[in-house]
Amino acid sequence: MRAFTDHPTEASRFVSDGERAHWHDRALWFVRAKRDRASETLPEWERLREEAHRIKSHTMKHLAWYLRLFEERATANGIEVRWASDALEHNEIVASILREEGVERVVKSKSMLTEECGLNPYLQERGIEVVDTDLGERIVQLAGDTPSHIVLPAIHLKKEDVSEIFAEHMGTEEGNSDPVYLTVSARKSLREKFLTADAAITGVNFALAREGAVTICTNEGNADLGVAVTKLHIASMGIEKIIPSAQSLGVFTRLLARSATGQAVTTYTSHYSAPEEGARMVVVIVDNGRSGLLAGEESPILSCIRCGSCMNTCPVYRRSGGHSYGSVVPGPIGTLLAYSRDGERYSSLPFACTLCASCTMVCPAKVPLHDTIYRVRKSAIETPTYTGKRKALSLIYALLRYRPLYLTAMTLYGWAVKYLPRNLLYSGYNVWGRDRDMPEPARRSFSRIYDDIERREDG
Amino acid sequence: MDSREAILRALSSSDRAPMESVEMELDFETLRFGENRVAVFRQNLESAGGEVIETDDVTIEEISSRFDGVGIVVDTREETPDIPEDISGVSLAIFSSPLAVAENGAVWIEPCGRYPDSLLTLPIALAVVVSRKDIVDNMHEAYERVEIGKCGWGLFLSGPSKTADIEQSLVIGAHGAVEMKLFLTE
Repeated sequence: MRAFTDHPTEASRFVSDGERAHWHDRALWFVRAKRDRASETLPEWERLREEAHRIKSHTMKHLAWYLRLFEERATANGIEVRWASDALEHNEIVASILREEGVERVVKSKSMLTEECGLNPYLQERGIEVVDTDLGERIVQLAGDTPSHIVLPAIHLKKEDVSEIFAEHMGTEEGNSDPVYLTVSARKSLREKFLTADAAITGVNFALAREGAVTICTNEGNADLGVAVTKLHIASMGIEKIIPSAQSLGVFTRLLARSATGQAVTTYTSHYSAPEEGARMVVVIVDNGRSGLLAGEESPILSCIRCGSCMNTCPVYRRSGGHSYGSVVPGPIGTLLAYSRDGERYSSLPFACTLCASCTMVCPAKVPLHDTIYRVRKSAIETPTYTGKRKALSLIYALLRYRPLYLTAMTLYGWAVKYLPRNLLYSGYNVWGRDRDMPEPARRSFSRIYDDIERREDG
Repeated sequence: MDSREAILRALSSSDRAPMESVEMELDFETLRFGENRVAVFRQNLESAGGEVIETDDVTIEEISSRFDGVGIVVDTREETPDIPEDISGVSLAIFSSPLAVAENGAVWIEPCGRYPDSLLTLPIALAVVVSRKDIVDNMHEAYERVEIGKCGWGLFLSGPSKTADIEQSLVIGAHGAVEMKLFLTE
């Protein structure tokens, strides 16, 4: 696990490079604008969002039943279904299947669940080569880094960074940072990996209960390629990936890519219901804390379809970068996922939010993101991290309630700003003043002016 | 207790069969393209990086002539297509599709064991033949027409493979096909 202090500390590292932070902000806003244009092409857009919300809520209400149905149908189709209570069990299951098949090299397509479970290091420690094949993930893998966005894993890197990483690990030309050149080089290098791999590991975008099939969406075709050229396909999914049927899938395939990147659909929308002849397909269904969310107030976060649109639109995410969240999934949905998993460690995340509600407005599954963040914020403030802040706030509350005390405090403030030496005024205790100047007090206070006017009118 | 039981027990409050089908209400008005359907399909596939060619001449020779520097060609429309040992060496694979989707330029392809799955992902170029009669408006209609589970793998493909993972610059040809041309027949 990445070392993590709190969001402001991590974000300060990101914003220290102003130009880069500004680029990041604009690049993501561009994606958000593309999402807007794509959504506007469909008059039924809002209805689709409602349907997605309705289908997901319905499925969650009958989750165990749908999981059983999926297992039954998938098994009948020739897919093996395995169950894992937590991350470790997931990794053990995957490793044991790979061992059974004598697998030495694995090609992997993007899966936030396997990131959550720490599958790559687990397998690597056991002598298995794991190659991430999504270009963005490959870049961060080579750099020894982690994804900073769930759809655009390398959005925190500039093409010059990628050029450097590739030159070091793939022997590409130094200083050539042309995206076409870099992509073609990665394609060549990864082709070799694909053709020598023994197994493919993928995530799952949607699992269809009635059909016993899984749907995987990519633009690069890396999942499809990996599955097609190997004899073993392991697909890992969280329990919340279930939807009732292919008929309901229509709603989600219309929403997903439009919300994520502004495309009408992903280039490859694959539906796997059985292994190819002579091959083996295993679906691993993972809980890892999700079942505990189902009964609680945070259950709507299980409806997330991982499109990333809440990140693209979030003013805090865009300006602080994905790594500042210290969790696999960043941004508004990541805040909720991380906080529900470990409220102590991630107590700062609910405050990395302006409550602007933009995330809730774009979420294709209508997850009430900002409302939920606001709610968990109330419990986050009770954690030991915020004891000092809590005390300070109750002091301010007392000041504001008692007028003479308030007026005295304001007079003192005016005096302090005017006469205190700068290094005393902006000492470590002044959190507000760390990055900005204290507001200049007015020559005459509002209440003075108000009293004067009243007096004049009375007179 | 094994994990399957443990998970299902933790979810036991959700173990009732639904009384109503969630799909029943999926009958809202969707965008229709009417006589513009072909034009909309073309526009969407082109913006996904594909090319649309309207022609009724879809012989293997005619199709191959539309691609530059074609080497080994596999035509999966043949009853028993001639598949080379090394599929990586195939430069063009030809498919026929029973279904295309106007709203996003996707076509439905399923190998069904007639040819190896990798023929859809390894070749540099793909050609897909579709009849204009088989274009539907949207994904709802598309999923009504296809039967998922009939073959082990079914794919909606919209253009050549692509990525924008380096600074959001779109590059065509990530892992799969670098080129995809669609031949639209009567």
